[in-house]
Amino acid sequence: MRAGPNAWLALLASCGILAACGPAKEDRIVAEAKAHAKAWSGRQATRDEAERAAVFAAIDAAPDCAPDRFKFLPDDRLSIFELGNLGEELQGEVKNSRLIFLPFDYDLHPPRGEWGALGVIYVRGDPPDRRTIGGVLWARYADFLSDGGGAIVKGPAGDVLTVQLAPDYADREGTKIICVARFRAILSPDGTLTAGGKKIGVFH
Amino acid sequence: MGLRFTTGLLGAAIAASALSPAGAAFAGCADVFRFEANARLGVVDIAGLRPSAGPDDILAGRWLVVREFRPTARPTRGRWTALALVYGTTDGVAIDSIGGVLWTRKPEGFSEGRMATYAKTAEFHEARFSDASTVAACPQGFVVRLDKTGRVTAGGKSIGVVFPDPAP
Repeated sequence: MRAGPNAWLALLASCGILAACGPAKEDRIVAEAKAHAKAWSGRQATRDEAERAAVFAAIDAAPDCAPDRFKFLPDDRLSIFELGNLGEELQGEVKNSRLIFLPFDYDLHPPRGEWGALGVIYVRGDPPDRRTIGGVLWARYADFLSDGGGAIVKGPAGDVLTVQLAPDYADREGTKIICVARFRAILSPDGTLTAGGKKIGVFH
Repeated sequence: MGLRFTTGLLGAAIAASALSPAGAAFAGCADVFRFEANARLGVVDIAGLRPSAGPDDILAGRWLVVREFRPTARPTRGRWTALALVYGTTDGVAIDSIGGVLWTRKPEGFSEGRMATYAKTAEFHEARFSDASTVAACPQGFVVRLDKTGRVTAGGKSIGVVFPDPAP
């Protein structure tokens, strides 16, 4: 009953970029996007997939924005209203990872002043118990022009969650992502959780 | 998430009373159940929540949602243990959610995934929490109800109205 977390991207691509460019440019963008998507998926892509893949590719290629776009609050507490918008666990490349990201629905990030909650990040046992460590990730609404989503992958440092926003996504032609703000949470093999470069705790 | 009933005498008693008014507060229920409306949950609490359950249907554009705490991760406060987060919410994206956390002093008999029985009529949907260890003090169990106007009641007490009213 809820939209997927990447629906914002499709919306951005279909309503924002294309609407701003006009038919001729739309054809070119779609063609380029389909090429991106075909390489990405190894099969003939639909138009929506192509557009989404093009945005992903642009996000991946974009340089980092200035830092301090996020805040991570380990002791935060969420209301019933806010919890009603929590989505399903993000499925990453790391199966059965103890590092979990619960993103909020893409269009209902709980607001607190100029900040909106992106999701809850935590490390938990199996089965879950009261040893969990983590926090709530927030970003400024002004940076929500495009939600680049999140991904969990395994790297040399451990399980790495990357959450991306594209605060400055368009040039005058509306086709270029200028920079991407990236927040990383890392669960190292020894159980240390680091979020935004700060040590949050050690999960034993 | 279908409509579920327990079996045996307890189940029969619960089923028979499923359509009774939720407004009555039974003497003794306060000894074993407590509902914390508008509770706030920390990350440790959130990590212990199971996926959503509840009556498997929409009532006038709204849902009654039950998210149990896994038994290994239940919050505790003194002699009280949290069983579940229970709330009414709007269909589709959750524009509004009203509810709270149900606590009990007798958590042992509430097993994971079978914590509540659910009933639904054209007038309301409800989740009823009861167990052999609570039935003596609270014979009809603790009921959280969402009615067709969006009002959420817990143990007969109004918690609030899920907004907006989708009725024309």
